[in-house]
Amino acid sequence: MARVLVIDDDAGLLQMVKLMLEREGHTPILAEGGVAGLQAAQTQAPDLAVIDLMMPNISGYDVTRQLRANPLTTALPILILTARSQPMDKQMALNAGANSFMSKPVVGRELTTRIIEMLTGQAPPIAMMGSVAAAPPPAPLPPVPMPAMPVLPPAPIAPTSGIRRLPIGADALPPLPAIAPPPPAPPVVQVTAQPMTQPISGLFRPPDKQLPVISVLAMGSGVGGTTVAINLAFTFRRMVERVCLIDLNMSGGQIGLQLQLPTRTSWADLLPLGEKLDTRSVGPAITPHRQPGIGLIGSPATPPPQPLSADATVGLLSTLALGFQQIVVDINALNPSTAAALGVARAVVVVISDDNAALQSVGTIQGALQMARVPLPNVRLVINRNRPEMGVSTAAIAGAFGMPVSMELPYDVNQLQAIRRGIPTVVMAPESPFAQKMLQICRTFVVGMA
Amino acid sequence: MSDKILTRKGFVSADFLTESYRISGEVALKNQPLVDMLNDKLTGFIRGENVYVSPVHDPATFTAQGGVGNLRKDRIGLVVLAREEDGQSRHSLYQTQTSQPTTFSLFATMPGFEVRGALRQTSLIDIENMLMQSVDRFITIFRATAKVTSNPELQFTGGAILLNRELATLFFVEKIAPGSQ
Repeated sequence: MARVLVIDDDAGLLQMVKLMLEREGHTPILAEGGVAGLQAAQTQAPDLAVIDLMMPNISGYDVTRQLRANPLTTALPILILTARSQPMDKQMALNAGANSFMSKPVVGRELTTRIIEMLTGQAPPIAMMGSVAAAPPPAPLPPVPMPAMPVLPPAPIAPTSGIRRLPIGADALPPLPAIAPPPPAPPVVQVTAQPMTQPISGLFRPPDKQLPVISVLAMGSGVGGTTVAINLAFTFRRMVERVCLIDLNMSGGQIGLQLQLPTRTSWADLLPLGEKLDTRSVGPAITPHRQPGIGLIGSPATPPPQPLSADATVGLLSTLALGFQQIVVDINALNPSTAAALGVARAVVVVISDDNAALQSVGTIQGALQMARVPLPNVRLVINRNRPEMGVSTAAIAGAFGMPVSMELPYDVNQLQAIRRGIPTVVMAPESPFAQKMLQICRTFVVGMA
Repeated sequence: MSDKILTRKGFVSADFLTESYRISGEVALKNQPLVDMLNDKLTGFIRGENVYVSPVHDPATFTAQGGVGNLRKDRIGLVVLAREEDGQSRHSLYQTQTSQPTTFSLFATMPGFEVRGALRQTSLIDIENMLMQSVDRFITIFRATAKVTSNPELQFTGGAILLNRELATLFFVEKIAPGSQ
């Protein structure tokens, strides 16, 4: 039977769970508190962990995050068992990387049944949205707190060093957790993009409120738009709890390819739903990444008859905004769907390479921005120097576009290896010049516009 | 298999809500239900153990914690309890043995919250009088939901919610026909 690590600060409850697990034939490993639990997880090789949320010094959320960040324990099934039973608690636990959630008081039989289900893979899968709470209505995440945690008086309250907030805009960002090597990706059918024959139709309905969308526009292959979109998403993940990355292109599944993540679902699954999108219908289209807090919506392997309508796209983005604090959209062609995503975006990052072919795409890009009615102040021009040798000068590119270049991304030798390993450069080499530039993009002209 | 409930014996876990804070903790019951302890006018505070504090607008984030915390009863707006039986008073336990309770749907506004749920009383009691003239500070609302007024997406639900009547600004009460619940 299984080795079950139980982490709780209540010694009495630990003993109760121990007896119960032993009766079921499991081997309990008891840890009184989060620090002891983290040590036991590394040294005792458990098959599953049951973790309390409310523990002094280091909360169950932080224990879960640290287990996920450690390559030794990143795949460990985690069941949260807590007296905090509200939907937002479940959401937070799942964001931290937990696989399952149970509220105290719990009957022993229910706990052992859940443990067996998790160990045998019978537990219901936890999606990024929809089934997360499974309870209507799904509660969106509260806004991520901006101010730093207040300093607590020394007594009688114990120190809360393990309890922290994500410091948005702070100089020191928490490092991204390590990502386990991806499973071998199935072959993805590569399809040549079809020329756009459908005219951009009409106006889309603008959302009632501004959406946290960053659209990355790159025309042509080899420009690096998808690479930039992926790395932007993973950089945002260092700042907020939940980020969604969408490949709105007609086909190709580039994001899934680069991340070596088989995205069996895509935005095309939403086509039959028309404009009637909600969290329940959108949820199944999201593929969770190995790194908790990142969800992906890929493009289909083969092009569907038509893209999403403009209204459906706005509906999709509005629905996603209920559960994700940041949405990054990858776009390489203009159609009603991508035009809508450009139009509602808080910022549009135009990525161009530094070769002559890129200069020839200036007219196409400008036309796309105009047709999508993107306000020029929302547009940021980024040169992606994706070859070791220097290409067209910054001044020439700025001159061709008639607007200043906001950022130059340096050639980074890590990129090739990152793509080969299916890990974004900002995760594999967070100190690299490329990663630092991505951070700068997020901090300055994207976050600054929010 | 074990049907034993995994919980700290003699304690109840609760979320205490004020206009600004969510305070989670455990209370030692000392042989009486929590609602009766809260309605005990001889003491102004109630002692919580393993207390964790979160802002109401960000209720899943811990900002402080302590082994023991004393909560001032008259400033607690709502107490969210997981199970219905955790919200029953000793008095109501006697009532249900002697007479069939009548169920009323209740809507109340509190500072920072809107509360909906079911109120159970014996049919002999005039519910409006009870709400306005009862000496008890806290009343139990069963199968209740407290919605954060400033962010209605944030909801606290429980088998029972204890509502501080003295902080409520409005009550709507309506009798629920038997069998409709």
